[in-house]
Amino acid sequence: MKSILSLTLNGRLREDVVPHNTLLLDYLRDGLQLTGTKRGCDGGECGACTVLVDGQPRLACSTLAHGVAGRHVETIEGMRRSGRLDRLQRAFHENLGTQCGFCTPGMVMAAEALLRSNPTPDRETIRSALAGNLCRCTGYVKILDAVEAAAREEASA
Amino acid sequence: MNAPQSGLQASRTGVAHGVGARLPLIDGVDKVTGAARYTADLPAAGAFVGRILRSRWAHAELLEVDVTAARALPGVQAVITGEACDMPFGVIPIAQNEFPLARGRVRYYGDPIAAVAAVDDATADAALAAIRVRVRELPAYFTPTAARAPDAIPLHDNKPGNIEREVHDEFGDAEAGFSAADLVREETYDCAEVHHAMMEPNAALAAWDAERGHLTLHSVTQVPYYVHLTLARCMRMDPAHIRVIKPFVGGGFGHRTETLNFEVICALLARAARGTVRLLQTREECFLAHRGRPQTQIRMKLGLTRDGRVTACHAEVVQRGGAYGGYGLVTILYAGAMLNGLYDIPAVKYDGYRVYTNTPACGAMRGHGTVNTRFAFESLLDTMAAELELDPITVRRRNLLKAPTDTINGLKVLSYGLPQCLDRVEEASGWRTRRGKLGKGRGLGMAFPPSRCTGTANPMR
Repeated sequence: MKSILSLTLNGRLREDVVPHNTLLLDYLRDGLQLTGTKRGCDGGECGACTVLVDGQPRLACSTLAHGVAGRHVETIEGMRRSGRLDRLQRAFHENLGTQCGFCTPGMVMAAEALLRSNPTPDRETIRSALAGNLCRCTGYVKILDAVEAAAREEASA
Repeated sequence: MNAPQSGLQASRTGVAHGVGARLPLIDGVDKVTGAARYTADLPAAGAFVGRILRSRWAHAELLEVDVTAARALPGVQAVITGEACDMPFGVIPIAQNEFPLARGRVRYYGDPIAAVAAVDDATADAALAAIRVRVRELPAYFTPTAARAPDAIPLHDNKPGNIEREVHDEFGDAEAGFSAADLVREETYDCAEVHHAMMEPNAALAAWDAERGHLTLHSVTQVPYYVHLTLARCMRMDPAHIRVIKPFVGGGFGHRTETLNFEVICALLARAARGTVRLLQTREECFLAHRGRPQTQIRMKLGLTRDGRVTACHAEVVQRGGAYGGYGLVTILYAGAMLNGLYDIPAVKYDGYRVYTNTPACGAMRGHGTVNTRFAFESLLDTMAAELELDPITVRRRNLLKAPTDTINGLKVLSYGLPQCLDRVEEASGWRTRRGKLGKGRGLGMAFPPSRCTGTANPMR
């Protein structure tokens, strides 16, 4: 069974014919070639597929595409502002918050959700917001540094 | 941008450069924007979906693999079995005993038996379900002890007793060393098997150019040159007709330092399908490909003088190697050879046994071969230091090398920052003031890391 899925994706309205059993992750990656959102596990364990739905972090691997009909979905591809790096992206880049880079898009999206609801989080709050995102290169310290740096920049802006 | 950390002079352009300058990664922008393409991200429009049929038995003789019904399904482009490749592969030239698809026998739960290329996921799944496999089950061995039992069937005909490799070394006179010791202790340590769990699941994209008979493979590998040679061997092709491309790789930690069966399978499928095949592996399939640090039992014996000098070391190491050779010969060698290189030890005796078992093959993983033996050595050294009422840092200081030097087994130690590292750790951890005063369940500990591994002596809380 297929039907038309309407949603706002990275600020633009989309309408696509999508099977009812398609996961949001497969819709983004295979349907739209938005491959910045990663599949890292067999379901809900690693956080690499984190996207925002109405500003809240969601695992695209455990969400049906039709489940977000009419909602605002944001992926890592929507984070750039006028072609420039967003403050979180720049902070991850400059603080060496990426190593192999595979967890990075999910980390950035989870951090974005946090900073929107709490622009001045302390380190413990950041840790807890990123608890569902694994980094196997174990660069966690620099990831926390990056989110802190982005929050500082936001506060001083 | 990052300022240089340690008073480096900026160049005439005002941009910090040179050793010590902190610079962002050259590919950092691609990574933080999601633009970096990993293997599974590559455009694959029109590619066939690859899938692997895996053994449900830990050890069995393959009597029949009937793919007739699978081949007849509409939308199935290719179905291949062990007949597709009769050249065994393996990273160590003298231990090549793995076929991309099993021939005659399966040796672990998950051993690939057949593979399909089909127009979509559902058709590929239906094709796998249509393959009929008849087997005669054999006794399976999940521990080195079971595999070494006198009546155990050899997993590989050329290795009776299922011993893949024995290593017996003695440098210096261990017996004399133990006689000269004031305290001799022996302990057994069991270390669990560990998988790399790199974030990116395995994936390959193989394109067969039927007109020219050329192959292009994209894969998650850490070793494209090994993959290139293995493909030429297994596919009986001229290496000049094969191209292997490594795009961004989402971690490896040793999992991808040898050619893995799914890479060869993907290439064989593409040739059989006369087109492009994308083979994505689940996380479970990554665990089945394994190649991690083996389950290891270590019997460690040390001799110490009253003032903490190590007089001799004897280690017996048994590794559960898994079903195929992989890097095994090297892992069991390193487990002993790297007992040297950190400390000045006058005598080291080593007995290593790498055993074939009906489990996924082990391989290289960070600190290849050395981590478990180091854990055992450091643990026993601590226990004995406590018995002699010596401080863990003091006992380590008593046994330092003086670089430059050659160890007793010929390792060249040309630079050696351990003494300074110990001083720094002692100071930074507050060792003298905090140790033993952190309350119940908290403490400061000290151990040297595996000598092949990056890192320093870390205080552990």
